[in-house]
Amino acid sequence: MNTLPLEPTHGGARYPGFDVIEQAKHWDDTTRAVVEGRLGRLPAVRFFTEIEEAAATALFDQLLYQREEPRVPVVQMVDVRLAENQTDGWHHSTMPTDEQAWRDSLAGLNVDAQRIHAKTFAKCEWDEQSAILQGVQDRGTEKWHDMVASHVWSLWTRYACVAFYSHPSAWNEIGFDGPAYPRGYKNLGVDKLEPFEVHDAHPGDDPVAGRGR
Amino acid sequence: MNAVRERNESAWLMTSDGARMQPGLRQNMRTFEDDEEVDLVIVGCGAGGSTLLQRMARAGAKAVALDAGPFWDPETDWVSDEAGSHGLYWTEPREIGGDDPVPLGSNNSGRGVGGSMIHYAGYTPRFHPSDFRTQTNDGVGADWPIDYPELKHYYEQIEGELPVSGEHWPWGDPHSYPYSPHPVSGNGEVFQRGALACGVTAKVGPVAITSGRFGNRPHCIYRGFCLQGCKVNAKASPLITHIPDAIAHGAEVRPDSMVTRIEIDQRTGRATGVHYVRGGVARFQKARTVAVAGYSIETPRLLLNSASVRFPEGLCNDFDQVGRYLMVQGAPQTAGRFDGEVRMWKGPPPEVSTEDFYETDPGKPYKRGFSVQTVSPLPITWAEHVMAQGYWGADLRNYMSDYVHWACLGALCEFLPQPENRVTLADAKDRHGLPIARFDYTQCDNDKALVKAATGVMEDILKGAGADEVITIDRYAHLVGGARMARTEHEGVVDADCRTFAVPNLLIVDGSVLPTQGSANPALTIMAVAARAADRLINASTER
Repeated sequence: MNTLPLEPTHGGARYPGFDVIEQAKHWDDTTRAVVEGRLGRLPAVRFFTEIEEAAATALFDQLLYQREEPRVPVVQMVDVRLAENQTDGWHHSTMPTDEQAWRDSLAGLNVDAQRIHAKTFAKCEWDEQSAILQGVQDRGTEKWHDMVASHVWSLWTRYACVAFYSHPSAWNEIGFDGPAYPRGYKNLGVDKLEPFEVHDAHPGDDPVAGRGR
Repeated sequence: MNAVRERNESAWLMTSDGARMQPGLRQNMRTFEDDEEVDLVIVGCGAGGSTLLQRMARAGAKAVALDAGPFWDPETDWVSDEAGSHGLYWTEPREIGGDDPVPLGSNNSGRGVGGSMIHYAGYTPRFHPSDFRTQTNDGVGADWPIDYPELKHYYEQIEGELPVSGEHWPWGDPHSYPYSPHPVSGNGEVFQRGALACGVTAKVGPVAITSGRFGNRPHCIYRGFCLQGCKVNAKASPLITHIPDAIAHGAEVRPDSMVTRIEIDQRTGRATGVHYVRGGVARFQKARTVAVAGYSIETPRLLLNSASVRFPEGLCNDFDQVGRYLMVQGAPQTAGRFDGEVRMWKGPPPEVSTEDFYETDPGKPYKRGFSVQTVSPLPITWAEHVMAQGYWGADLRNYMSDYVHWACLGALCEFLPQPENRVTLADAKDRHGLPIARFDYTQCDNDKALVKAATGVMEDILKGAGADEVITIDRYAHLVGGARMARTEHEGVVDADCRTFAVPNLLIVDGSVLPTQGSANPALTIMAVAARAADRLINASTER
């Protein structure tokens, strides 16, 4: 897997042929081991219960728009962090610790899905899931299942982004060069590329100018 | 021998490739027994603690510094990777509250020998002379019990020892830097172009990153992972700038040792040493003098957790000053979209800054000011920017695919010290059984006005450089205060020499003693204050 499925209308195919893993031979051993570890098989899910795993999988697919294989295995990556207590440490005084906030918020998604659609969040259609999540985001600083909605949203998106954008396939999608030690960079400056870097094939695809929301 | 090497040989105590300390230095390090009463035990091996340790070891003191985290080996412990650097941060449980809660962890809290300077960007500006007199000059904040001239000599010393690179600095007390400025990458180029268009003065630096060989430390390789720990050993941190020399002069660095309580002799009122846990075993290090350098959250927490009959509300807390007046800087980051490929991750995030807006402008409705600097978020942090705009799903992926086109600036706004912005103890306990810290933060109107003004300036600069769209994320940076220095015990916890008012042989030598913060990154000032405290301590013991 060196690229992820993403339609060009959503920013796919902008760096054709770019593959950061081809540079792995230039990385230091410690870094290479850490990054390549993300490409291998991850431990079986330990932290999430089955019903939580199902809800979390659907949640991450939605937040990161992963609609088909191959996917970055975000739910396993987050499960590892929570199982090994690799949290950020701090938590809002109005929230439980991250571990409990994950369990409570995933349960909250299932409660909402049952109330609206009489099925679990994972069993809902894509658009039904999207609408439930949009409802949480739109609550802002109001409460959602006894938690401040924006804090829940922040928890979900932080964990989702740390996992997804640590994956080399996601780096390929955004043109990011990945690790750079001990090689460093030689060509600094606007529009100055290293020999292995690839120009944006669709430089006019400014999400601001037209296509975002 | 050059003057820097004469007072601090750390850079020459690295192997010839600069990769690590010379073989044997750490292995043959002098060690002290717990029941041997050392001259000085220091709690925390960051900017303040390491500087104090090095100075005191040079003066011949038997000194040991304990750190809760590891003794890092950059080559094998650190990675050139964002998510893989999680272990650099203090991720023990903490609670945050108030109207404007401040996230901790990777945002501002280090762990291990070198402290937060392992993952700071590398900016090392001085405070301005006005920072020491904000109450007198502007009627806000606090006056320090010392003035800028009393710190100037130490600024110069530390700038030589890190060393600092940059252009001649026209702001505050104008000064030059020992190392020449770095070349700039796409992000710095955008800042310079935009500043020029807006009539704002921008300068390259000041960064504690070598722009040439320094001792055995190599030149920066511009790989852009400054915030993940510098594997190159080009970016300064106490791990390579002060610890090697300290060890060479007979100091002990004891890692993986969490200090749990400071012991006070209830009859004499003097500190007798520190309780700590290493490998699950509770131990006690005897010491003639104790210095706390755990930074703005852990230092107050340790004092509050060291309550005794003499200090029922917490050590040094007779006047309810411990934990108060804790400050963060408002640090909004504004990004701009360019048709060209900026590729802002290439090159160090700290490159170019302006202090044009640092001082109080009588024409503005707010007091004090802000600085603007380049920042260059890596993909995970950049995704947080995009998410902060409300984008998720397909919109997030779409925005992220545009990463190469964005440049990013960050402001540091001088938030004012307020008594209710403070550390207290929460009900929850950590794995040592100690109450965890709770940190409350609420912005005042002046704080909010500064963030708004700084955001406007960053938008103007980016648009001046040709950005067709700008987005801003509100965030915070740095911590200082929480056990501030003051003229009297009613206004602070320590005196101008970092000595606690309440316990004669207990010092606090870290960022928590700063009464104000200016719009400057605090690392250099913390080290300068520590170097001054060391001189005062050495002089006091010679006079006695």
